[in-house]
Amino acid sequence: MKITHLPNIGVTALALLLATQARAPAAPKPAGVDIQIHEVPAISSIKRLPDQPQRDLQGRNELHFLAAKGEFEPASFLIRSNEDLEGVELKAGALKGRKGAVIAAANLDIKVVKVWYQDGTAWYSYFADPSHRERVPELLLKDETLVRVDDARRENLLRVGGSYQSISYPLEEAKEFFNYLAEPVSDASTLQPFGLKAGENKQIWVTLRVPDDAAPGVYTGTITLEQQGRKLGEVEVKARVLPFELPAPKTYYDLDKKFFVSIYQTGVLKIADALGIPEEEAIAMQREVYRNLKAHNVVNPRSESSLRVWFEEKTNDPAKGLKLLKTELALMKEAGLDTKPLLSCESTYFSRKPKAEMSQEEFETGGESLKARIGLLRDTVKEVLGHTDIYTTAFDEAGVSLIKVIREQNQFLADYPDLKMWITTSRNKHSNMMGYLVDYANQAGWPNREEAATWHATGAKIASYASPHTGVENPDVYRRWEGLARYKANYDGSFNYKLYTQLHPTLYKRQKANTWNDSVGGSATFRSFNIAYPTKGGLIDTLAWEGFREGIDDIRYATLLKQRAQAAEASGSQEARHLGRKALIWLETTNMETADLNAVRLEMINYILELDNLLK
Amino acid sequence: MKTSLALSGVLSAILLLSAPLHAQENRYACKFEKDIPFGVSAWSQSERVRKGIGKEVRFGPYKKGTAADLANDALVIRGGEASEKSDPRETAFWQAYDDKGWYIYIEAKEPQIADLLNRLPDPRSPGRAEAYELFFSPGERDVPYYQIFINPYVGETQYFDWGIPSADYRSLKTETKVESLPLADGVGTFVFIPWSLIYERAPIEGGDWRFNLIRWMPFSKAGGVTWGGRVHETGKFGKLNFQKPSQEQKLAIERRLLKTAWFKFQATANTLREYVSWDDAEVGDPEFYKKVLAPEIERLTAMGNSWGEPEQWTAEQVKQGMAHLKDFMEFDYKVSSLREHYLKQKLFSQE
Repeated sequence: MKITHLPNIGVTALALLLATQARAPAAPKPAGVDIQIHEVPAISSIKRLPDQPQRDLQGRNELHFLAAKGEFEPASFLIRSNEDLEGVELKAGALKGRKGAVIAAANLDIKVVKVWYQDGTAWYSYFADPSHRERVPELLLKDETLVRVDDARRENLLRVGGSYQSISYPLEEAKEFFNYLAEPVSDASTLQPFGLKAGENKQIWVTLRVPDDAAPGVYTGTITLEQQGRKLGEVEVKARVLPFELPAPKTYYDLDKKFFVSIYQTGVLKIADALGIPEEEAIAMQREVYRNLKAHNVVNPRSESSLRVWFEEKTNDPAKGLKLLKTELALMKEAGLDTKPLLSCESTYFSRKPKAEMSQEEFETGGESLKARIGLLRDTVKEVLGHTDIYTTAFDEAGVSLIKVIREQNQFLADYPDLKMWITTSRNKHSNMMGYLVDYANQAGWPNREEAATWHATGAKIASYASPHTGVENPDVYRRWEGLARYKANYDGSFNYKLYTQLHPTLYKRQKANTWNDSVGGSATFRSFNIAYPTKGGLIDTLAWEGFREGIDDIRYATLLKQRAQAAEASGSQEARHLGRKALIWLETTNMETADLNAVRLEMINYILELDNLLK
Repeated sequence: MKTSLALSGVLSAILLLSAPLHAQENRYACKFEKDIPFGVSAWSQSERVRKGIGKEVRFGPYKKGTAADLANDALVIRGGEASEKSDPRETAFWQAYDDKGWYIYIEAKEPQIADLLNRLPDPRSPGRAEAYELFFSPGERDVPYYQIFINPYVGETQYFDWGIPSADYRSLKTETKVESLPLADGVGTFVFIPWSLIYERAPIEGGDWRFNLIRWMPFSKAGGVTWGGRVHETGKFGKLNFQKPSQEQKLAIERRLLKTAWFKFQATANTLREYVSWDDAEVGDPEFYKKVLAPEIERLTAMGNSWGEPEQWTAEQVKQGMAHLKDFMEFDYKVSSLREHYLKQKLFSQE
């Protein structure tokens, strides 16, 4: 509506007119159109395909949120029409609580769940079967036409600028890499009208962001389904805002220890520099990635700017490397990420050669260079972040010979006794040969308490990756394995590989990958490891990424429950103490590898509220 | 010109003949049988194995140049590429099913068995990494798949359940039996998967499943052999054809599943009453028990009891019961679902 075309009326009258129009009921539903709307559990292992009946339908025309202050909480519903309909719109109203409390409609973020084709074994595995493709729900889009699906050819087409490009092809057919930082690919900023096919389900995803200062209580509102001003249906939204905020996650075995939430390949600046992306665009993209990470509970991402490549490769400019590091650290700080300690990708080696293959002079010179580089890293972190609590790293998945190299070269870091090391490892691989050097082991494979105990024996921390890698579309996989199953195994963090398949900062010219294409080629049958998809303007969220967030939220609820139990223990109230212990026994004896996590979440909330009542 | 035309004709004929051969996938007929041997000893000494009845040996080499890439798989250690000098070794399997479940027996010849066994105590011995990798998907599309990694000489089995435990999917590791036994000329391995783990897809109407067995032979540097495709490549696995059971056999499968479910339900319900104690005022939630759980337990108990003794269930009663199989089989998840609903109502009704 263009206000300039309205008659010249007073401000009050205009406001009244607009309010009247906003309240005006939409025209009635056209005769013959039957719309079914049902709530479904948002995070579930059920693959919701459009033409398959769903056996876990919940309330009709309802949507529920149960969330703490400041929490992001998803809910979902299915729409089914008996007729083909185009131009369908969803409009959310504000949520209203008692005593005039309001949560603005803008806090309800509505997206369509896009079903597309991925390589065989989709939904289940990060290994792919390139011999066929399967339909799978994955992307959360404001504009579902960003991706077109060709059912006849079982392939996906991505809108790049004004045209569509196939993103389903064998890598061998690719001629050049896809520059996701520069290509004009973007989702809409608001939910666009979408289509409904007769007899098929359309899944809608709604994320409620509860304001930090929201008053506790039950709020209600509506989301209306319209087509060209005609009302097709209405969803009654109910949100209960809980009377607490969620704490940062702590480990299960020690409430004073941080549970680190990290993920690989969150850096943009170096590859953007290599690709010639203007600095301000690279910074905007990095800023958007950090915003998205924080919103998904990834508050301890790695600093991915390593000085080594800039200082030891003659073609590179050390000043530029240092500038990128400073920019990255400043952006992390600006985004409100937890940078103490800092997980850095800086490597604590100067050569892959063992000492025996170097002259003494070469060894000493390399060592001094390493020492200087780490000193510069510490100075820079101190300057930007105000501390020197840093974990550096070494070779990825080092074998025996490289382990020996790490040990030899570590002598040059004796002047930095507070410097810590994180590494990637696998079961029984590094603990015996270099466990004494390691402060944080990121170990391949599914978490279990025995592995944790091995590393905890020296005070080191443990996380894991490939359990599973990203790329699996099922949100319950990440909710469970990045969440309570990992937490209950006494792990110290989530450290998976990876946010999305990036171009390599130095090898990209030889790559032909398109991160949007599930077929990554090669013979190891991996699929594209994406839990979010990159565009020039930021990340496209996925079901799996929402599952990840909920997994960490489960840990935050468990942390709060343990904190309340601890307070109850110290309260002097026998009733509170006993209830706290009952909660702890329940938490310990519930098998989080198999439990219904939606029920577990509610049980935790129930215990927290009951403890709160006793502790008042 | 004539010569080249003739040559091209011959080449076309060869291509036409070779194309279907190349595309041909292995198939194996898995039959419902009575008195199937149970355990590795029983299988290795059975008549079918001694006489090679139902023996399947159509394995091909794991694609050269790709096995090395599997080193990037952080989860398992495989055998690597075959050396030029390695001789082929026979790998064979047999399969059958009955009302209890699915039986697989694998026998792998190893000419150097004595040397392999002698060196086994060395933790670095490649004999310890000798492995079978068993994959299957119970159906052809939109079904989960399973991976079992077996090191037969050290008796270790890893289960990679590529689904998430829920009322619709359960880990194989809980009830699958795997046992291996060194033989005079190799090793035998027995695998048994009860239908109760995959009951939604038990082949009561027969049908095709995707199946693959890959054998890795690092001790002899013989590389790998596969029955169909690469690891995780479900679309290129061989096909396992479960031959349609007779009505009587189908009834036997369903009867056993329903019996398992009925007794599992009773065990879960008894646990909820006597151990987890939802009706206990101190550690339970008597209101939830009384209003929600007890009526559901009573409803399902009455239904099961109405059929009489399980050994006497009629075909009609089994048919009726199968409609409620999941309710009985997954009662623990049903309790979670009821609890979730109850707590949701409670939490939305209080401020």
